[in-house]
Amino acid sequence: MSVAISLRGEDLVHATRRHLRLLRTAFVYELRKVAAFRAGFFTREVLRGLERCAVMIFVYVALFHSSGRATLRGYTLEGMVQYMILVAVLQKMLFHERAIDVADQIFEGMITKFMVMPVRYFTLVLARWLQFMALQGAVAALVWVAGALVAPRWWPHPAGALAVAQALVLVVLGSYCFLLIFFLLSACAFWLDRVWTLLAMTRMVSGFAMGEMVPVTLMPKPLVSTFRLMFPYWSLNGPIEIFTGRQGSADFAFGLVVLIAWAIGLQVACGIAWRRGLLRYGGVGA
Amino acid sequence: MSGTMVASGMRTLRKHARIARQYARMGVRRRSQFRVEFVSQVIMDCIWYAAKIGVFEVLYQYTSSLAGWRAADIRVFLGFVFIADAFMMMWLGHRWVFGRELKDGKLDPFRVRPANTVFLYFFQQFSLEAVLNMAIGGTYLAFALQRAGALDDPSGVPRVLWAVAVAWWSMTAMTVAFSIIEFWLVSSDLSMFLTHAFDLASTNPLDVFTRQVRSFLIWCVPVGLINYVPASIALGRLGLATGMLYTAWIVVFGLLACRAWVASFRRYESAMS
Repeated sequence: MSVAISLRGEDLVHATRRHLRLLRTAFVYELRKVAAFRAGFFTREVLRGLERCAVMIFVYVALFHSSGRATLRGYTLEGMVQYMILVAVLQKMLFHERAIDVADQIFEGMITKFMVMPVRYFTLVLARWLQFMALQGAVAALVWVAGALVAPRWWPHPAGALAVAQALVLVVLGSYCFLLIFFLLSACAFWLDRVWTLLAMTRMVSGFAMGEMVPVTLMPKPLVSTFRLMFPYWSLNGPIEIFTGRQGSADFAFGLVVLIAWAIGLQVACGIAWRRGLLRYGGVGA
Repeated sequence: MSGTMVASGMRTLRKHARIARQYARMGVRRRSQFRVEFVSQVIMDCIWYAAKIGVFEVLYQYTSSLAGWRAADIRVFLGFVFIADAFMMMWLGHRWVFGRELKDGKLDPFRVRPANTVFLYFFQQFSLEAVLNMAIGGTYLAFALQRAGALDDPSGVPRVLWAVAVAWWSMTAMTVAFSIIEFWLVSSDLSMFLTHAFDLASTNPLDVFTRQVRSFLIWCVPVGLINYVPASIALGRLGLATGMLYTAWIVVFGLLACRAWVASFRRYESAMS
């Protein structure tokens, strides 16, 4: 009996090591892939998200100028500009639907080869997310440092080291929730064949709920209460307001609970959808 | 001589109309195979409309005017955003895959087909669901125009029709213009990025920008003619002469973009990655 347990323990260690090796190899592979086309790399990884920030700053300058107000629910023009800058910087780290191609692989019948390999398919997806986070984390840090040096007056500064840590924890967890939701929706391709509209819809709704163009604080109260229970809010708007000191540690704790609950729920849903989907999978492609 | 040219022009037009009809027929047939996709795409566009309206409705809680645009004017502007987008989705949806198809060398058939290459490539994917979205966007535009009082005088309807024509032509011209970059920087995603960035700029009234940026978005990269100028024409914010000047400019720009695209197409070598 004890020998059997010991063997199972060794198997588990061996399997974990194998998965970690696969994760590392796939991570490096994903990194090479995104850097293959240099112009595309710069466009996709560095410029993405900056255009929205630029356009919305113009809109808010016009809004403050036209309305004659000094603040909008506590946001001055300077605060609003800083909010949009932080949207551009932190949103880089949020996993997006264009970074995942699971639905295409299902639709084209390319999942078959993974069914006969002694690896979990999700490990490969996880490696892509790790690559995404490593790369985008570095790009976001560079953009933030460069901006702080070039325009220190307008650039958002953190309320403290704790605020930075809390904001980053929420962003990383939020990004993982986005990975899971996009994986789950992609797995719907087992039943629906084409799911890009579902992915796009999710991006649009989450963009609104996370305050990518308008801070959720400016929205009507019932919307604010609803969005605070959803993970997109705690992936962007929440972290930004914690970073700038508008929200405190109690809000961070609440956001953390919301994100963990969503992550657990989505992880379970992903597992169920994947297993049931594979039962339907014919492997013949489009 | 001129009679021969007119007859030849009419023949070409009829030929392209026949091709468009075939594309539409294939689009309807294709969509009948993905019925869930049909519903999803209609809902997706409605969510996009709701998000756009939502952003401006939230902003107008705090002001009665944004850079000189009242809430009623902005609704007209958004109506043009929706119908221009629906037109793009209906006929120009293939622009999203242009970069990839160029890289994968899938443009070979368009070299030998006996019709305008730009038309054949960009109009090949007719979308039935976008017709429904066009109806929704058009209804919203009609509602907004009515609320803004833009249809009160007799010149209202012709002005709106003119504005719609400018919006659709501008959308086509800009789609062609942005895609040219991919011929020169294969797999750069630059055309997608620029399309997205300038789309974002053009879905706000250009008066929020400084005068220099506004001029840039009308005369250099004329995305302002997709929504801003048409909405201004429909609302009577632009004089007849200025409206005609802008219209002439976008017509010329579109024709030049098509010529440049065809010229750039000669660079295409089947395997460009």
